[in-house]
Amino acid sequence: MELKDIKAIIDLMKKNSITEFELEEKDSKLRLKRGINGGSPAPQSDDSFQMPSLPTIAPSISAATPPTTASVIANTGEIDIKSPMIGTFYRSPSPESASYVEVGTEVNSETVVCIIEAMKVMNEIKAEVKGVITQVLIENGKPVEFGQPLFKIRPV
Amino acid sequence: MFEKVLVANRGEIAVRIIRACKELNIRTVAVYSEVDANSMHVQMADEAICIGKAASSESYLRIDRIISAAEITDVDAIHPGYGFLSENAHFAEVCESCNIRFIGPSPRAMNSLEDKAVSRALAKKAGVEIPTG
Repeated sequence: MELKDIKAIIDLMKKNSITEFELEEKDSKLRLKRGINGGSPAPQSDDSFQMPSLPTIAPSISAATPPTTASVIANTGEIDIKSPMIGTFYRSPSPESASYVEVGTEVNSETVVCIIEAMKVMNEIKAEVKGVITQVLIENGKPVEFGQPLFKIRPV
Repeated sequence: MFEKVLVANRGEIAVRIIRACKELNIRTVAVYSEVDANSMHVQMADEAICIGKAASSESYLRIDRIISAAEITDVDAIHPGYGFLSENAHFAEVCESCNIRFIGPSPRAMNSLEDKAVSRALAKKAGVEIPTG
């Protein structure tokens, strides 16, 4: 089995919301597990996980566990800033003004990165970590749900 | 008739409401907590919105989150099912003030029946026989 096969399985697991997957072949055994609620289980390192030919597989397994807490480090070292509420996502304080942050903006834990409007109340969302914005994941004015990733940030 | 209804409940209760809506050609919005992401009601509804963490006090019982979900999905009405917010007069009032129909009794009816003494006085006034005590 090759790395790309395992990646394909992980994608399928994500797509179909499968949390556990086990495969046994002649000389290898693969077990994948994704976190469901809050916990993001560590990469499986017990005896059932034996892939001697592919010792570098562990990072791709950890990538399969969905980020579930407020911000979880993915295998790239980037963190998601997630929406703490349901509402409409705005990148700037008013339609005329500039966005709070752009890709490349340095932020600290107190920096406001966006506004989420819920029930006519504008809630300022803070970065909560120190780092650099690497990606803006939501378009201005789009609705977001609880726990939805809004930005990617590279902590420094 | 409504075009789109938000079901503010989960599990079997929500599934039954969604089925009824489907029979009536009404579109449905499910709400769910992080722990219920794989639930049947989430899969059955036309749209689904995550409203919070596992604890119902952080999700299904949060009036502000339910209303926000209703606003971003632009529903005509909210069906509370039973339990959770179904007997919460304040919730019914908030729905009313947001121009969303609350599918259930009026806030006035809920207020007057939630208290036993008030209910008894009401029954008496209406000429219904009530046991003493």
